[in-house]
Amino acid sequence: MIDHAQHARNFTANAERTAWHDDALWFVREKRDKATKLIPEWEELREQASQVKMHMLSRLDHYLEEFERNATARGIQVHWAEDADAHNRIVHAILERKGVKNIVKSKSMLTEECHLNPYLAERGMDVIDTDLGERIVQMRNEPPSHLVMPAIHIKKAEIGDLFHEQLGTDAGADDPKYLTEAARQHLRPKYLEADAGITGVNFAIADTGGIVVCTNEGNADLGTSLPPIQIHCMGMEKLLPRLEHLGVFTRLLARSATGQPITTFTSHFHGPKPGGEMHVVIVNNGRSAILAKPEFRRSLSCIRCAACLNTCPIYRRSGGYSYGSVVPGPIGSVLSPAMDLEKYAALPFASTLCGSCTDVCPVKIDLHDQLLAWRKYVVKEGYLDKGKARQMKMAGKLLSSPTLYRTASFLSKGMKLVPRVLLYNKKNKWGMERELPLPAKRRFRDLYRKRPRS
Amino acid sequence: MSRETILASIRAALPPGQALPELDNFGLHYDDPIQQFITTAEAVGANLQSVDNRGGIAAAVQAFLPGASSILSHVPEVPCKNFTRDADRDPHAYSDLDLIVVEGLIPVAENAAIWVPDSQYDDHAAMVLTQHQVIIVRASDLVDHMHQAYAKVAAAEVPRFGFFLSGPTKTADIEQSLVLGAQGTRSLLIIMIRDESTSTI
Repeated sequence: MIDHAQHARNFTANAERTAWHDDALWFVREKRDKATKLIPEWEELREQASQVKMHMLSRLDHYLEEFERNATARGIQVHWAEDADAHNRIVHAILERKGVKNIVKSKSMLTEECHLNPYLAERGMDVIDTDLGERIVQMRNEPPSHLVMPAIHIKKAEIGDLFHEQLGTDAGADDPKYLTEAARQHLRPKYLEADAGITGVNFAIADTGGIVVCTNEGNADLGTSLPPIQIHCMGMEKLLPRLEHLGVFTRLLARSATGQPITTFTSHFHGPKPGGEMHVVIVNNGRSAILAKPEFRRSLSCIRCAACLNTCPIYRRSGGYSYGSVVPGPIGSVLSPAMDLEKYAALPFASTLCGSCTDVCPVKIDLHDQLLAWRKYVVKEGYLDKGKARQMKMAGKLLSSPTLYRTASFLSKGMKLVPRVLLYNKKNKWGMERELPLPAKRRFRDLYRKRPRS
Repeated sequence: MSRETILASIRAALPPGQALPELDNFGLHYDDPIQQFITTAEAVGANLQSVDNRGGIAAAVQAFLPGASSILSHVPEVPCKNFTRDADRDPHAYSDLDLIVVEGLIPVAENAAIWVPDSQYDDHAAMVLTQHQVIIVRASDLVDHMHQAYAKVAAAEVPRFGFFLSGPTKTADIEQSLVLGAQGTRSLLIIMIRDESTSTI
């Protein structure tokens, strides 16, 4: 089981770094706020996006078949993968058949979820992640710590050292412009040598049979326009019914993600290049099981903008790796338990339930309600931490009995007389790293009874 | 086999039907869409040059990149230089390209994105391998927002490839510092033709 609290403790042990991380994410959250305030109809736009996605999910089988039909008519080869393993086998078979050795891949959380890179590497293929942030974490043998900014947890001096070691940049150089130029020079030959390009999919369009990929660096375009084979891997919930729906989602995505008015590239692929092959792999990997759960199915509307990560007080102060899941943050804490409840039982508790995630979500996923709903499942399945379970049981008894509650509330008047060691110990998790508030001098009950009556 | 399994598992899990909302463009309208486009284009790192008519294109391109080592032009006003148009060229050859000049079809005021489908250039690869880029748009083609833009895109035959481009490539992956010219185009000049009466494409 992932111990989020322990991982978070390790992260916050470095107070200076925690504050730096917190500030970096908050900076992005503020940029998002500024961008959304320029759009008077922002809230209506979110509502429309939410309704389009819920409609799509209610007819997902129909739209998947429509997409397949239209894509096939355009010469695109459509594949279906039941799980991560099937996805990897399909992608590998396509590449194997053509003798592919060198692959460039632009950002795709789905291929992270399926662990495609190690699968291909074990079979003698070389996969280069081309998004700068992803390339940085790949060079460090780390997974991304954020959906949109994979290297948000790394300082520029560390990237400078990494590039000095692996790309031969000047020792001690940490100017972002200089380092970005070095990455450009490092990546360009990789595109030119590539035998195949792989990308994720931001949106697939049922009525045209095409897919859309959004980047700022142009790396998905570089990776797909040169080699003869292009493969696009998509979670099956990425569908939109009609091309016109992109008007709604392209207005929401980048503003929610980084505060940009739109990504630099919004690239629409509707068929293979002359003499080339274009493949789309549609992946289930547990999504139909989420669809079957009424209280969680809205999470399939997610467009991976990461606004919920940037605003989350827990994510900002515990870092992406503390979640131990491919997708971190609030959205990861509702998606991951659906994959493996026992392993990810702690994640629904990595939240204050403040609801900020729900407020910023461009497709109106009820994230904090889902986090609460997952807590009930965790308890029901017996995965709740024993100490927490004991406390909850006691609190439950106390709060459900008026007599017990009154007695406790009367006794709590004496709390300031209780020795600290009794309140602040390992058994009382709520007293750890927190000062318990002293009870008010006069209880509400007393005030109410003594209220002036007319 | 996977296909049938997946579709069956979806059908067993489908939520109750929910109606598709009517598309609405919310009546968003800019009083001065040209100014909105220009301000936004500059904010996303593009250079912008307004010209009165197509006669101003050549000079604007020359002023933007006087020392261009090679030019691949898709407009009659600008000659190619050290590069010829060849639709059958191996796309890798575009890695030597310094500047590409193309026409954009739908400029969008709200985000300075420009719809550039593959009818406007010989090869998608040239558009991303080039070091610098010029996109020519007509002010009379401006739309306010993406809803209008996609209505126009959907009205025509969807191209095999097409993109909305907004500014030169960029990244902020190193400590949130914005760097223009990440991997594709280092710089972008948008030439806006203001006088629609003399424009011809």
